[in-house]
Amino acid sequence: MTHALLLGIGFGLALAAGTAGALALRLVRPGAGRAPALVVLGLPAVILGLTSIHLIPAFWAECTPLTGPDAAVIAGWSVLAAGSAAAGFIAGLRRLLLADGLLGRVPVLTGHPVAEKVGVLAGRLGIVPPVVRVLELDWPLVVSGRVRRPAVVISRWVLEHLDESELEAVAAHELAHLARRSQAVLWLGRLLRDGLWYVPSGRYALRVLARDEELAADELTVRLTGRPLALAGALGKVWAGSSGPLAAGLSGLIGEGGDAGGMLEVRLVRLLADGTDERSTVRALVLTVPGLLTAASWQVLELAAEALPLVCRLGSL
Amino acid sequence: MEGPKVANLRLDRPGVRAALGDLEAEVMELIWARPPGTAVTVREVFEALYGRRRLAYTTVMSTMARLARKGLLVAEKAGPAYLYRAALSREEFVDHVVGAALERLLVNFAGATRRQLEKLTDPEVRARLAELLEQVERRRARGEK
Repeated sequence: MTHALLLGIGFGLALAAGTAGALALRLVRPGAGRAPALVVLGLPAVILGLTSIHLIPAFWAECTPLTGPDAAVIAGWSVLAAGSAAAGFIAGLRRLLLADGLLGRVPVLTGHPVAEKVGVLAGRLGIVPPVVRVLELDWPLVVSGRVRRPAVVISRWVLEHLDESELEAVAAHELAHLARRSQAVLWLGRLLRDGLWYVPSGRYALRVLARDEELAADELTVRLTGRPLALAGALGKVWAGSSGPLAAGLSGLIGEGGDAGGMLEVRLVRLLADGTDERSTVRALVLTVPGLLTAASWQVLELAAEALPLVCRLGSL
Repeated sequence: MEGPKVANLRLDRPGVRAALGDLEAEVMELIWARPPGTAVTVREVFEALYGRRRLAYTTVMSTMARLARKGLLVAEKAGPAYLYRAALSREEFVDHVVGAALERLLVNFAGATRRQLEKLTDPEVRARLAELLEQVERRRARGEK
């Protein structure tokens, strides 16, 4: 059971590192969690990669052929890891293509002041102006994204219920997402979560990532427009105008987990306090701790790789 | 607003078939082809479809009941039978499906907030949010940005 034991050590290290990282994420200032959350999402992948690539071939060299439970464990692990990674990638690609295909079907908005405003704000952010598209919906919807040609989609409800400054704030918020490449970052986060579904810390880290993309976009919006209360007002109207059409929506489509709790309250409190927080040194700590854990994992696996072939030989005596 | 339920989307399929099964799409197209608000019975739909497809009456009946459960049709009892009418127009349905899917798939302004609101049952949290929003309104009314 030498091989299985070492694989177990690697797996345990990945779970421990992910859990430690997730706990450390709680200390990060809301809005500054992108890099730490990605580290927490990616760390188990790195450790399991080290286990799979570095360690297992060493066993094979020293202890071939794999027999009995070892052979079953290694084969099972290979199927699980490769299958999960492939399934995660396919699900991610499907999401991307579906979003791209749907965006292309939405009619372009022309002749509306918000379309011009988007062009002006995009220029100030230094990004290519996205196409503004409109959906005839009687509930609030504003989304942005697309791989080939960026787009901002706004529902008729939003155009009719938000005033000029609120519309500007909402447009700036979506442009902030495009400038920060939020779609790509969240896509990567979901890929890591889905590919490593057996690591529980990934689900929490993805929620933090999604929450902080919103908060960081809020901050950039305030810097761009100088109007935190307009953004807060838009949120208020969404709050008042929402009655949850998605409760019966496409729940099976992408399987996204829920949002971070208290999101609206957090956003309003921050916007009422001018929309920004002071920087924290906790972020550096969170980036450092998992880094050290990875380095330590590498050392443990190195030692194991050197020691266990010896155990393997002793076992065969 | 309670929207129609769509479990999956297939963009390789044409028109509303991207969101509905073949028979479901045929039934809806047939109902949408009539003047808005027109009510139909299962028998009428069955007879209209039977020329094209040799379907059992019960198949059509269960498909229409399923469409009603999904929120695409509204059913009302009329004597021994049910009358069905479209809950929303074809264009409204397509926009709803596209919008709901996009909100789930993409980064968006309101989605996280709205999903949270659906779970908001605690009156204290609601009161706190209401207070915050009143504060926003008061400060905006004073001319603050």
